[in-house]
Amino acid sequence: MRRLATALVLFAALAAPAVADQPASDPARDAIIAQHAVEDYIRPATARFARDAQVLNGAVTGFCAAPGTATETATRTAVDDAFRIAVEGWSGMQFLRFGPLVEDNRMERIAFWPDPKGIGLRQLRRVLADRDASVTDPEQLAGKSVALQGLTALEYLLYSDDGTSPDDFRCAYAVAAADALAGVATAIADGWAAPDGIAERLMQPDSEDPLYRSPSEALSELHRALSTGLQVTQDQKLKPVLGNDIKTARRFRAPFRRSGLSVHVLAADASALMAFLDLGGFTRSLPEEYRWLDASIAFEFENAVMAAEAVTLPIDEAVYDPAARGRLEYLSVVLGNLRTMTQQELAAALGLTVGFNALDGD
Amino acid sequence: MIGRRALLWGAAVGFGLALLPGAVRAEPRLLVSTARLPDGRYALVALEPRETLRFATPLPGRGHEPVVARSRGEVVVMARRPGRFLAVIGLADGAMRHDLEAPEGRHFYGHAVFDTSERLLYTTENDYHGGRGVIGVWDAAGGYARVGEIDAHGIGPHDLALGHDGRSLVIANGGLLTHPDYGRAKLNLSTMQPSLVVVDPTTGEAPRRLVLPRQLHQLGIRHLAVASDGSIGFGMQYEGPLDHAVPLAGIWAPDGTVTLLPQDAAPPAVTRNYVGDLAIDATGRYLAASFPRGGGVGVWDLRSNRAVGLVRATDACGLASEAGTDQLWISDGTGAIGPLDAGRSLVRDTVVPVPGLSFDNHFARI
Repeated sequence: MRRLATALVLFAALAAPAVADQPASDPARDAIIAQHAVEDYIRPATARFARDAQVLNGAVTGFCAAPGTATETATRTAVDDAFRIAVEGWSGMQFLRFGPLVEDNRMERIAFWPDPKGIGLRQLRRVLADRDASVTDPEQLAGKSVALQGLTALEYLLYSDDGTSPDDFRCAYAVAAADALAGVATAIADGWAAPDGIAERLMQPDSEDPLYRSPSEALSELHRALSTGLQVTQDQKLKPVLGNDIKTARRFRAPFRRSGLSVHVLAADASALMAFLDLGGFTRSLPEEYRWLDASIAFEFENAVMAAEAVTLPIDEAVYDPAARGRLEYLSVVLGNLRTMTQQELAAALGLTVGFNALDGD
Repeated sequence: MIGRRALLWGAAVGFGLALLPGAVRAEPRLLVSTARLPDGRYALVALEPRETLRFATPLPGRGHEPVVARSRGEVVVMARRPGRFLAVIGLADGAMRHDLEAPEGRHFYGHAVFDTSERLLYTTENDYHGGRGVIGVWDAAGGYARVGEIDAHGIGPHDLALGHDGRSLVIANGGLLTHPDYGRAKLNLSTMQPSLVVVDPTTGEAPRRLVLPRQLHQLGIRHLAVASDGSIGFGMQYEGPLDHAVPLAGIWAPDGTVTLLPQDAAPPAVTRNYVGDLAIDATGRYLAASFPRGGGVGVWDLRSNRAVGLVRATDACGLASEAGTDQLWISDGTGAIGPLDAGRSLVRDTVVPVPGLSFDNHFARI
C-alpha cells in the first residue's frame, strides 16, 4: 500500500506539466517597447532626478547660508520639500539597475541602503566626531566611502534624532554632499541622454553587441528591471520592516525613516513601476491568450498604490497600528502577486522565459 | 523519498524509457545532481548510465552542490544561499538519513567538501550577524554533529575543495556581503574584495592567499577545481557593467603564478560575464567553465593556457570530470546531461533522462 502510494506520488512528480506552447518573441513589438520605455520613461525619469538633485543642492545651500536667521523656517521648508521630491525621484529610477546607474558605484553613492550592519551610520558618526573637514569638499567627498555620500548621508545630516538644526560643520558637509549628489544624478541622466550610449544600444540591438544582441534581449533587460523593482520594494523595503508580526516588526530597517518618508517611498516605488509598465507598453500587444494581463497587472498596481497611499502614519507607528499594518501587509501580498505575474505570465507572454540556471544563479 | 523501483515504473510507464536488464551492477557509475522536478519541487536525483533514474528525493528547498562520500555510501546536499537545510541521503536508495539545519546565526552557501577520510565535512557558511564567512565543521561519523568552525578569511565563501596535499582547504571567497533579512541582495558592491585562500583546518591559518588587482575587485571568485598537479583553477562572476571585457577564469599554479585565461573564444555577449561552474579534467590538461546566462561552455588547454573553443549549450551550468579520462561532463536546465571529449572535438554528447526535469547548478559524477 505504502509502495503504491509512493509510486503515485512519484508519477505525479515526474509527469511533465502540460504547458501551452511558449509564444515566440516578436522583434518588432519588442523594439517598440524598448523605444517607449527609454524615451517615455527612462530618459524623463533620470532627467527629472538630475533636476531634483540640483534643486535639493540649491535648497541645502540656501538653508546653510543663513542658519539661525528669520528666514530659517522658510529655507528649512524648502529643504524638506526638495528632499522629499528627490527621494521620490530616486524611487522613479532606483530599479533601473543596469547601465549608467551601476557604473562607478553610482547606485551606492546615491543611497547606501540596505545597511543591516550599520556600516554607514558608524562612518558618518566617526566623521562628525572627528570633524573631518575633507568631507566638506565635494571633490574629496566623491572619492570617499560611498556610505558618506548621497541621499542616505544627507538624510542623517539634515534629520537628526533629536530634531535639532544641523550645526555649521554638518551644514558644510551637507552642502558638499548635495553638490556631489547632483553630480552623480547628472552623470546618470547624461548617460541615458547620450545619442550613442546605452539608450541607443537598447533601442538598436546588434548581434555583435555584447550588451543586447536582439530586441528580445533588450526587452529582457527592461523586464528584469520591472521584476527587480518589485522584488526590492517587497523584500527589502517592506518585509524586513513588517516582520512576521508586531513583535518581530523592525521599524529601524525602513528606508528614509529619519525624514519620515518610508511609507512615501513605498507608494512612490509602486507608482514608478506602474508608470514604467504603462509608458513602456509592456502589456499592450500580447498574444491573444495573454491579453488579460494588461488589465490584471494594471489593476494590481492600482491596488498597490492605493494601499500604500492610504497609510497616513509614519512607518514608526504604522507597523504597530493594526489598521495601517493591515494595509502594509496587503501591499506586500499585492506586490507578491505582481511579481508572480511579471516573472511568470508576462515573461511567457513576451517570449522571455529564462533558463533555470541562467536566472538568479549562484 | 521516492523509491527506485517506483521511479523506474513511473519512468517506464510515463515516458517509455528502456528498462535496462541488469541495471543492478556491482559498482554502477552514478550521476548525482540537484534538480527541479517536472512538478516544480526541488530534489536530489541519482542517474545510472543510460538514463535510468535510481532515485529522486525531494529536498526541503532548492539545493546546490551534491557532495558525495563514497565510503559512507551517502551524499550531502545543502541549501543554496540563504537557505539553512543540510540533507544526508543514502546513495543506494535515496533515503534521507539526516535532515539537519545550519546553526543559529548561520546559513549555507551551498558548497561543501569531505576530508580524505570522509569523516569530517566542511561547509561554506555566512555568519550574517558578524558579516564574515566561516567554514562549518561537521562530524559525519558522529551523526553529522557540529564540531567546530573555521574562519574563511573573507566574505561570502562559496565553493571550496581539498588542496593537493589532501589536508588544506582551498576556499573561493566571492566577496559579496549578504544578509538573510534582505534575501539575496548584494550589500557591498562598491567595496567587495574577493579572494582565493588556502586554509589549514587544524590551525585555522591561511598560509596562501590570492587577491586580484584593485581594478578587478568586482570580479567575484566563486568556483574552483584542483588539478592533478596541484594547480587551482577558478571561475568568476563580474558585478560591473555587462559590456566590460574581463577575464572569467584563471589558474593559480603551485609556484604562485597566476594566469587569467583569455576570453577570445567567448565574448561577453556569450558569457554575460558569469561563470556558473568550473572543472578540470582528470588528466589535468583541460579546464572548462560554464556560462549559463549566455548558454555555453568554454574550454581551455592548460598546457598553452589558450582557449580551445566554445560549446554552445542552452542553460548549461553543472560541470564534472570523470576519473581516468579527459572527459568533462555537462548538465543543463533543459534536462540534458552528457560528456564532452575535450581532447578530440568540442561536440557534446547528451541524453535527457526525464522530460521536464531541470538539472540545477552542480552535479557529481562517480
